[in-house]
Amino acid sequence: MNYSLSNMLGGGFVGGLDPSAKAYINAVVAAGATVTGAQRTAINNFIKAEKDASRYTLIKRLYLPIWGIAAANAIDMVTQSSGTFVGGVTHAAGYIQGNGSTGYFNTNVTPSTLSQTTSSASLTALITQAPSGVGAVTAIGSIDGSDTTKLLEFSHLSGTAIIFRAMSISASGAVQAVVSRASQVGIFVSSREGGDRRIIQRLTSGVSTLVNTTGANAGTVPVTGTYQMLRSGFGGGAAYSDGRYGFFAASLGQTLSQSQAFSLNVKTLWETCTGLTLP
Amino acid sequence: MIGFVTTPEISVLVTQAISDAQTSRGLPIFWLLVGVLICSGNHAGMHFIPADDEILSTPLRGNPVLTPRDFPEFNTIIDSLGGLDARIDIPATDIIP
Repeated sequence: MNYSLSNMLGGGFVGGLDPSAKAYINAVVAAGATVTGAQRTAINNFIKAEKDASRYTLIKRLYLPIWGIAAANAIDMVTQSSGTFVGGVTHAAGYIQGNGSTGYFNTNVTPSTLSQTTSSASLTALITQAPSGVGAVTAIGSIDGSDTTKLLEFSHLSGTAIIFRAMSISASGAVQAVVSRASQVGIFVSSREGGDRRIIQRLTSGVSTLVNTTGANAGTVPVTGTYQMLRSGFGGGAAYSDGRYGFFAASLGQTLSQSQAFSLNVKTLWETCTGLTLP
Repeated sequence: MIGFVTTPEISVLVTQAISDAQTSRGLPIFWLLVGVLICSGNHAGMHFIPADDEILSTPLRGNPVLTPRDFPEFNTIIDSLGGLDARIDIPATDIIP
């Protein structure tokens, strides 16, 4: 067994950083990833900006799966807890990609545990390549069995739309926007905040509010773990995504201005850390 | 899809062995193979464990990069499934309920 003890127990010394940034960087390094000085600065700046803007307390889980190895990609930036990759997932420099048939990521935490509610929940996904085909696949989501009154997800709908379902598969809890499959890229922040339901999309060219409406609360918060690249509880192979993803977040509800600022901060983080450019 | 077809009982044991390989080293469970129920076709009722060459070469940890094949438990687990040559190719539609 060629296994480095320092990788298990150590991690490089990280000084002069925000404690949250330091903890995350140390965890990633302990998993065997190399974190450059520029990446450390970018992570630190991202977290400090979220804290300075009073958004950090809204954020419950953040995943930056850019490191090319599963152990590092599985680490949550907020708590340093680890999720679990299952099946066929490619770990590339800058993103992860499901194989569309068996691969997904289990955050091992439920919307209920994260204190997401029927009136306060947000899901974010950074997508660098849309899933192939036109079938419905999930970017990030949770559902209790097949109960469509107990789900929370951001998904690529069959055909040419994206949808945010907050505790309801339709009616007031779900909002969707027409976006061609090839254009389902960039940073999507979907949020339910008070009576507002919206989806915004940030591309290099700017940010757009795809849908912004109001509606009554409906449904129940799921108690099943939140998955990425598959909706938990759905089972089978119908909802696996083969898209490429560079960032995920689960948080409490955000206002429109918070979502816009958060997506810009995510863009800067991901682009600086990867050297890639958002579509 | 390439992988192993096995009984639900062995499938659970395989997943547990992969889990144990991580927890026994003080690591979180960050990577698993999980058997999926085969719903139709010649192997309906059995479990399918995805295990193509790419999956078995997943970079798990870094510096240096370790894949599942680098863990000493790998051969034991694969042997319990009949060896790598026991893998078969099944249609993805077989596991869709």
